[in-house]
Amino acid sequence: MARQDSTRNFCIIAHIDHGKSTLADRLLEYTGALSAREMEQQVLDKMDIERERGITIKLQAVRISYTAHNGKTYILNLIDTPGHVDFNYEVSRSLAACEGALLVVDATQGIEAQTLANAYLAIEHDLEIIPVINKIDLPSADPEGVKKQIEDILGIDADEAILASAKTGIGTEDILEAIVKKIPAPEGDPSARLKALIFDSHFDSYRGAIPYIRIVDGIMKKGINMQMMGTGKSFEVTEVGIFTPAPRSVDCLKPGDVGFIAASIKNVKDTQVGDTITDEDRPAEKPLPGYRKATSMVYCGLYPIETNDYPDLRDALEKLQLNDASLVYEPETSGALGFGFRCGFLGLLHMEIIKERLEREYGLDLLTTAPSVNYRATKTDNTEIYIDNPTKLPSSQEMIMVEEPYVKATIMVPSEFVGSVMEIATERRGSFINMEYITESRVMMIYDLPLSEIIYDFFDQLKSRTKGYASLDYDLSGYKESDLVKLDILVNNEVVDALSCIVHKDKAYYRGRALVEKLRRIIPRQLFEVPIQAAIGNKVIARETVKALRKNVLEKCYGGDITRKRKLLEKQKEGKKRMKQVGSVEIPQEAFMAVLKID
Amino acid sequence: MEAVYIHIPFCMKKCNYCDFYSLPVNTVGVLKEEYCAAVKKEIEMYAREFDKSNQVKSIYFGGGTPTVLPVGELTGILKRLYASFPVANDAEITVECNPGTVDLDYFRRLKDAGVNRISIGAQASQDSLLEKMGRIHRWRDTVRTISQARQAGLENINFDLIYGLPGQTIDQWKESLRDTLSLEVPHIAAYGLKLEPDTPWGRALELGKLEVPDQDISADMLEAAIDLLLGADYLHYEISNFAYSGFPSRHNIVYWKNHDYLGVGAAAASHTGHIRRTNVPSLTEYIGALKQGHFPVGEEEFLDQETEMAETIFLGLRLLSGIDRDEFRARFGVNLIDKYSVQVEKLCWKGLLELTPTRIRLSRKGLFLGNEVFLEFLP
Repeated sequence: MARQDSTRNFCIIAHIDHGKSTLADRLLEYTGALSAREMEQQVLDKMDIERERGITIKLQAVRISYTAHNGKTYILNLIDTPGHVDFNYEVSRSLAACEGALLVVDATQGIEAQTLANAYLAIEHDLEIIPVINKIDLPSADPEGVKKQIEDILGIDADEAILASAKTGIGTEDILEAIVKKIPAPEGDPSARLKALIFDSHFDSYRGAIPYIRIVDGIMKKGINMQMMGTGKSFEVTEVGIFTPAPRSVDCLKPGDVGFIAASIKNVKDTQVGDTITDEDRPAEKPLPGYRKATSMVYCGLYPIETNDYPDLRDALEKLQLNDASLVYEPETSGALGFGFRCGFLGLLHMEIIKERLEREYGLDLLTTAPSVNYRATKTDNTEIYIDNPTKLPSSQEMIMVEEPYVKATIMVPSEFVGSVMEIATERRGSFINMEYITESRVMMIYDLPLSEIIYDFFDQLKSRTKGYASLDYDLSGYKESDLVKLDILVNNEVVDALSCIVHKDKAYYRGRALVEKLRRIIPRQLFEVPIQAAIGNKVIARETVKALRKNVLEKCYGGDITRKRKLLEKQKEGKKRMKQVGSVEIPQEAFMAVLKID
Repeated sequence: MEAVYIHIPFCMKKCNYCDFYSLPVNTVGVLKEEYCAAVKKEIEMYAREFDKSNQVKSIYFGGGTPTVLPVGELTGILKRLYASFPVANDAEITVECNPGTVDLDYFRRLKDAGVNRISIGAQASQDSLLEKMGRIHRWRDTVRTISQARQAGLENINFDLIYGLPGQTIDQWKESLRDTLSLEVPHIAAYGLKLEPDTPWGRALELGKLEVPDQDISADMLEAAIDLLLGADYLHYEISNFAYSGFPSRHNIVYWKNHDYLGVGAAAASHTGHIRRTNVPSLTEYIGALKQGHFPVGEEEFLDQETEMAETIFLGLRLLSGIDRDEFRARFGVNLIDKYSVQVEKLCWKGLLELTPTRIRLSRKGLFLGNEVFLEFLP
């Protein structure tokens, strides 16, 4: 049997916590790709942070060899997908590398917003979808109800849905058989001009950026001059390989194959996810569809607490970017915080992960400013500028209008929470688009919402007001004009640029009030009285005062106390170190994130 | 050895804020006699260790409440000390006591054994506050105790007072100070209440079930104490301590100057050479170790020069006279002002420190904000 005919490329899509990674482990274990002992719990989620948070951030791919009931041996390429809305584009690229998808739904939870979003993506990509109802071993499992949801909501025939328990291994064999029988073999012409889709990459310190690819047409082999069709850059291929899951060199990759190439690519930016690789000497006419550059949704300033750490931060960002082309950064200077970087992220989770990695893997102490979205201002001379840092917003005299990015948000909740969702959406300046009962008791609500209202604590609020039942997915829908103003915060009569934010005019007074109150509580008493003001332009709209520190002294100190008292002083000193000196005021780090926790 | 501290870890009943190592005496049975025997043994063992050319200038019995023991136990320990160490003729010998555990005869016997200073845990003059604190005595008991001590010839008396108690008003605090002034005790220690987590009040505070006066009231209370006591001819010689001229506590000054002292008894701490030792905070372990002839040390810390200098500074600055710069140089071979020039300049500029030609000390403002100064000198 030709290799192409015996190949099946598939991915697993699921809502977070529905058991995707455990299922992947089970498939690997069953097919002997790895023994149970070799697996450190979940092989596909490699980073510590991923394992801790139980989510996949970086995509991975694995080749599995499976001998089916019909006696033939198949190559199954499992391409993992990230399970968070921040990484939607990455999901779409890995779907594009497959012919089929396992749609995993938790038998106790049913369909959630991400199940839906990912299933729609899979349908758009014409993938064969195999529904898998997971966790059927749990007492509260309701496989029949979930089947009905899959049919009613997704319009997918669930008659042959596989009942499984990734935890216990029930259904694993059925899943493998279904992959072989139902998912079509990849098409593609080995004699056609080379087209390979990049669906991920990683950086290897010896071999450079390693793109993970799926061959669509043609043959990829060592020695050819390959060209990135999006960026136009060319490289000589030095190695071609597959993941078993350990990387292993092969002679060539043919249509339908999934693997990696090495080509001494120095910069991960040259291996953009979604780009098409072709042969420079015999190039394809046009690239594969769907490529776009990763767009940053959220921006924030990252500053070292110790100013001396600036070069280390720059190096660390450089290194992280090698592995994560979606991270963008450029140097910026803040009057309050000194030298740092304005960084763009795919979403808030992406931002938190990067910050955590910088602190953990590079041992940096960082200060993050409140996240902001990318506003767009039209100046009086009709030029358009993008504003990723609130301090850059022109004054109202200098601009005609300012627009902000909006998203189309899909929220799914049990029907009793419809009122709560409407309430939150209205508070967050959302406009209602549509509502649909997907079953008798579950509702899908669609809202148009400003992105800036979502990046703060929207999801937390949504969860807490729906007893944790709501799920959320969103997509950028475009820019809309808004009545926005810049809210400045003055500490000790000086504007602290890192605390400025852009807010809707109707909310400015409330936010200013809440922010100064919050800061009064966060900023400890100093040796002198510290006024904290919120202002729009020159107009102060709220004021609070941090009283002067009056007493901070060890009450008694005798022979038996000295070590303990010294440790107490050391702790106080440590606390001060974690603060940022702005002018003559010591401001704790959390103050710069305070704007996040208001509402 | 300049000073010896003896810890007596027994009391009638634990107060709600107490985090010293102490056990209610009615729960320990015969262990208290065994304990006193162990203390005597520890004294003898140390006597063999130390060079005896220097005279002991101060002995201090602290607790707990040392006077819950029969007076003979205390005098017995004292005799063992005289027999083991050279004690100066004019040594300051202090016993902490609480009203309700002592009488005229008890004081007479202490006095006969050489005790010349008494420290009384008076705390407040309002019975309602004393009751809330879990004290076993009332203000009239305090007054009686002081007259009995004087009758026995013990004139050098310290009063401990506490401010910042839950529910205490500034007027009640001033009243306690005035009531104390009327007794003309030569030494007053005025402490701000600091609740440690492992105490009934500390836990209640964490659970939000207890409220204590805030920083501003606490500062007002210290201001009030300073004003009232200075007006009554007391010398303010340490952040929390006041005395008539000639009566500052010699024992505590050893601590504040970070000189050497020996601590015996469970949980007691010593500072000898560059080493600080703390004995095990357990009655049975303490007694057990000594029975086997071991030093009952729980923790031992070697103090490097940087740490010792920092400690010498933060302890020394507690004294209003501050630190003698020549003494500091003689001890560490380092000029304090050069070594800490950045800190000293900054703190003087902030108005927390003052330099004189020979000394460095806290300013009046710095007295209230000592920690802002102290932590700057930590390594």
